[in-house]
Amino acid sequence: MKIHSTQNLNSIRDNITTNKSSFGEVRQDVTDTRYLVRTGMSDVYLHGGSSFKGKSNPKKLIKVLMNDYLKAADKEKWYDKILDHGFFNDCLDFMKHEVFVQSAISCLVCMAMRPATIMALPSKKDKQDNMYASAHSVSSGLVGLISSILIAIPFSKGVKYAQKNMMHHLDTEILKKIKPNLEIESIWKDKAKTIRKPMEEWLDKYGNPFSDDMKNVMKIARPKHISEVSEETFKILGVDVDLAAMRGKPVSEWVDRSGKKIHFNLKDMFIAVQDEGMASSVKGYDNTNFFSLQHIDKDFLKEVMPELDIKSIEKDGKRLHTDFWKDVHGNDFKINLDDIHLSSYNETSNAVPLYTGAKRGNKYISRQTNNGSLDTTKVPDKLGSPIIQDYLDNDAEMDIATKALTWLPDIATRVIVASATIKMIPIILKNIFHLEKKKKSEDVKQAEIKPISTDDKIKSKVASSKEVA
Amino acid sequence: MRVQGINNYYLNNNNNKIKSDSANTNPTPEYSPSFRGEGGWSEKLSDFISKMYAKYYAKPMYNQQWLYKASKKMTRVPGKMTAHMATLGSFITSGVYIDRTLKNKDLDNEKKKTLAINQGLCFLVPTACAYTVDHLLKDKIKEKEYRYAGRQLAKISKKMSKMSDAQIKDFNKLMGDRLKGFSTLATLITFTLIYRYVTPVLMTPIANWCGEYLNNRNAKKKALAEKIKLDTQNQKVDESKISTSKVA
Repeated sequence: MKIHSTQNLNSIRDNITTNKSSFGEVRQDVTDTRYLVRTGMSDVYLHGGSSFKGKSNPKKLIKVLMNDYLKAADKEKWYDKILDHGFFNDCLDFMKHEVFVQSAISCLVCMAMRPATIMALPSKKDKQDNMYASAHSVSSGLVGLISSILIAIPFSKGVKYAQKNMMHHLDTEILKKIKPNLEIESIWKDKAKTIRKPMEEWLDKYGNPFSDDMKNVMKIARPKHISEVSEETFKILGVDVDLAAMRGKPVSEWVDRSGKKIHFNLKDMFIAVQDEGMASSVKGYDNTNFFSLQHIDKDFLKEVMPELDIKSIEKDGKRLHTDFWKDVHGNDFKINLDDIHLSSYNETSNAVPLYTGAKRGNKYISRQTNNGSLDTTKVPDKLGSPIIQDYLDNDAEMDIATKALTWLPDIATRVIVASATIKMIPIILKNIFHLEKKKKSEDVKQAEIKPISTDDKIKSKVASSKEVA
Repeated sequence: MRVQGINNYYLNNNNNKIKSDSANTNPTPEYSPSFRGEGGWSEKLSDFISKMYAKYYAKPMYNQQWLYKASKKMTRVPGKMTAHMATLGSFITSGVYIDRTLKNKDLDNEKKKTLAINQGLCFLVPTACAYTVDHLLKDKIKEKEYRYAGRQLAKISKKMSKMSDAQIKDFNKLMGDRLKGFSTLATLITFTLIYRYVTPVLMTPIANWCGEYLNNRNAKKKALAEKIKLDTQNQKVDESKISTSKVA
C-alpha cells in the first residue's frame, strides 16, 4: 500500500498514517477509493503518483513515499551489530588478501564449528571416532591457514603494493588500455622529458580528479518525505521551522520562524520517480528512485514534468532554483513542496545511490566520488564522473586480472599443498593430539577369529568404507 | 597503520575516544601505529616482502598484454571471479583426493570406485549449492552493503566538521576499499561454509549412505548369485546321486 486516503493529499503530518483507527475511517477510505476509481483519479491519489499513462509516458512522480516498510527499515536490525563491529571492519580491511581470508574462514569452520558439530553428534561406535574426526578437522584447518600465510599473503601484498605504487609507472599504451577514463595528457609534468605528475594530480576525461574506483559510487542518505523529517534536520538543511505550529497545514503553506515561506537549496530537494523497467532503490516501491532537482537529467525531468519549460531551468549553463522555472506557457512553474523528499543521515542510516536519470542500457548511470568534495555525507554540490559501460567493462577486466594474480599462486600450489596436507595430518594427529587411527590389520585379525556369515560380510564392508570416507 | 588508526579513532562507538576528540582543539589524530611501532621490524619485513613481490611478480605481470586479453575473455564468463577461483581450488583439492583414493593399494577396486564417486559428488553437489546460494543472496548482500555504507556515513557525519582534510580523505579511501570487499567477503563466506562445513557435516553422511546402499545391493546380488550357484551345484550333485542309484 502506498497512500491510503485523500486525507493524505496535503501531507498533513498528523494524518499521514497507514493505520486505520476506526471502522468509520476505513469506510471513509472505501468511499474515497470508489470515487477516485470512478473519476479515473485513483492512480494519482491512491498511489500518490501523477499518472502519465495514456500519454505513453512510463515515468511517474510519486508524491508521498512513505509506508510501514520504510519506517521498519530505519529501525535497528539484528545484523546492524555485526555491521558495526570492529571485527567485521577488520575482515573487510583484510579483503585485499582474499586467499588468506578464505583460509581464515575455513580455519574458523574447521577448528570450531565442525568439531563442535561432530562432538555433538551421537556416535554409533565410540567417542574416540568423533575425537579423531574433530582432531582431523582442526589439523586440516591449521595446515590450510599456515600454507596461505606462507604462499598467498606475500603475493597479494606484492600485487597490492604494485597497484598502489607502481601503476603510474606503467607504459602509456597499457595505461590507456587499462584506465580508459584517464586523460592521458594530464599525467605529464614534462612530456619531453617524460616526467610524470604524481597520480593524485592526474585528471579523468571529465576534468575531475582521476579515480579508478568504480564500485564506491556516489551515495546519499535515503530521502524521506518532507512531512516525515525532524526539526533538527530542517535546521541542518538551513530551514528553521516550528513544526508544532505547522501541524495541520499543507507543506506548501509552511513558513519558517521569521514568517517567510520555507526555502531549500535546490540540491537538497528530491523527487521520487517511478520509472518502468528500472530497479528500485526503495524496497516496496517498484522501480522507484530519488532524484535531486539540482542534478536530475534534463530529458528525464521533462518526461516526469511535461508541463515544465525545460529551457527555463538553466541560465549560462547553471541550473536555476525552482523559483525561476517556467511552464510551457511562460507562467511560473510552481513545484509543490508536498512532492519533495529530503536527504540527511540525521534521519536514516540507509544509503541509496545518487542517480540523475541518465541511463546505460536499462540501468541508471551511477557516479564516481571524485567530485573534489571531501564531505561524502551531504548531498554533493557537484557530480562525480559518470560510470559508463566502457569503464565498467574495463573495471571488470582489471578486477579479474588482479584476482587472477592474487589467486594464481594459491591455485598453482594447490596440488602440492593438498598432498602435503594428506601426509602431514597423521603426523599432527600423532604428535599433537596423541591420536592414531586403528590399523586395519587389527580389525582383520579380530575378524579372522570367527567365521563370518554373508550378512556379516556386508556389514564389515560398509563399516570399512565408512572409515575410509 | 594510518588507515587502521582512523578506523579505530572515528568509527568505533567508544565514548572515551569521541570525548577526547571533542575536547581536543587541534584534532591531532591518535592513529594507532603498528604493533611494533612505526618502522618496527615487522613493518620493515612486511615492506620488504611487498616490494620484492611487487617488483619481481606483480609489476612484470601487470605489464603483460596477455593478462588483459585473458581477463577480457574471462569477463564473458558469468558469475564472480572469486567464486570461480574458490571452486577451482576446491576442484583441484578434490582431484588430489580422488587420485589418492584410486591409487590406494589397500583398497579393492570396487571400494575405490565407490569412494571416488563419493568424493566427486562431495565436490559437484556443494559447488552447485554454493553458486545457487550465492546467486540467491546477491540482492540481499547489495542491500546490506548500502546499509553498511549508510551506517558508517551516518556515524561519521556529525564528526565530519572536526576532521582535517587528510583524515576525511583517509576515511573516504578506507570506505571505498571496504565497500569493494563487501560482496566478495559474502561470496567467500558462502563458498567456504558450504565446502568446509555443510559438505563434511551433511553431504558426507548422505554420500556414505549412497555408498552403503550400493555396497549392500552389490553384496546381496553377489550372495544371491553364490546361493544360486551353490543350489545348482547341489542340484547337480543330487541328480548325479539319483542317476547312480538308479543305475545301481
